[in-house]
Amino acid sequence: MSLSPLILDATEDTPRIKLDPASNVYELIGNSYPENSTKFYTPILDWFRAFFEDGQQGGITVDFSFDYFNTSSAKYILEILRFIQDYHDTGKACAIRWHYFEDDTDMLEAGEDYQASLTVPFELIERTDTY
Amino acid sequence: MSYANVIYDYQGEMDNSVLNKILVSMDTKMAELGEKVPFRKKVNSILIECCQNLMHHAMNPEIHPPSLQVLKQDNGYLIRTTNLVNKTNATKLKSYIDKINTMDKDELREFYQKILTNGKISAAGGGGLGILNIARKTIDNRVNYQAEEVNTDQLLFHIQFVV
Repeated sequence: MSLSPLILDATEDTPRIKLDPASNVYELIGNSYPENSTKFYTPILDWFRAFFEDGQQGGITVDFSFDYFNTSSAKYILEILRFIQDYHDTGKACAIRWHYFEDDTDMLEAGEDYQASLTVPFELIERTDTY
Repeated sequence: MSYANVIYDYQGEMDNSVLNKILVSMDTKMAELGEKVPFRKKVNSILIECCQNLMHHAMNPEIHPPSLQVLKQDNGYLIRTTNLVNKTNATKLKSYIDKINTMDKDELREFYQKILTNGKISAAGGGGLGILNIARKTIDNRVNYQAEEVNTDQLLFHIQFVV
């Protein structure tokens, strides 16, 4: 039996989450500054852990597209990226796409910082939609 | 001669519903002042860190509510926060800010990466990343502070910087 998708609607301070093996869409989009990042990110980390431990899945490409994130979210985002890195290291072809607006140098730098700490293919993609 | 206008002034208990109102209001005010979106986002991302610091670290907010002020100056936006802390935490915070204030932009980025990749996650915050992230975004990569004694155990801790 395949893993159920994890889909959460965006709020003002939490991103839209879509982790859906059936449609092969894995994305975190929006703002991430919940009051309690541990509470928000624990089920997401659990989902990735279950997905990767399942062993039946192929490689995945995960899209990250944030307008804002706070520093406690930054640590959980890194945890997710490390899961993807570990899975990639087992021979699964994984990739990360980090989306940022053209003038948003802070979000570009955040992506570069993550990119520097990983070896999984990590693409920095300029967003073409407007703010 | 410099000038300064208070464009936001809040004192009271802090949570994300207050923070969301602050972000919307500040974005509107900065747009009216002609600021471009990337700069408005920079200021608001700093306000997120500041307000969440107040949420997680202000002692006795019902007696000494934390405060946030934003002033428009000729060199940028001065952001000032105040909250009550105990003296032990104030000493640690001062020494951490003193350390950060010796670093230039590249050193701050390197230190940020080091803490991000090696530090522990806490429910309350990013393990010192918040103030470091603020320093990375101020005009001089500095965060200024001042402590005002309230009683033998507690201080009002003021943090101030310009974006």
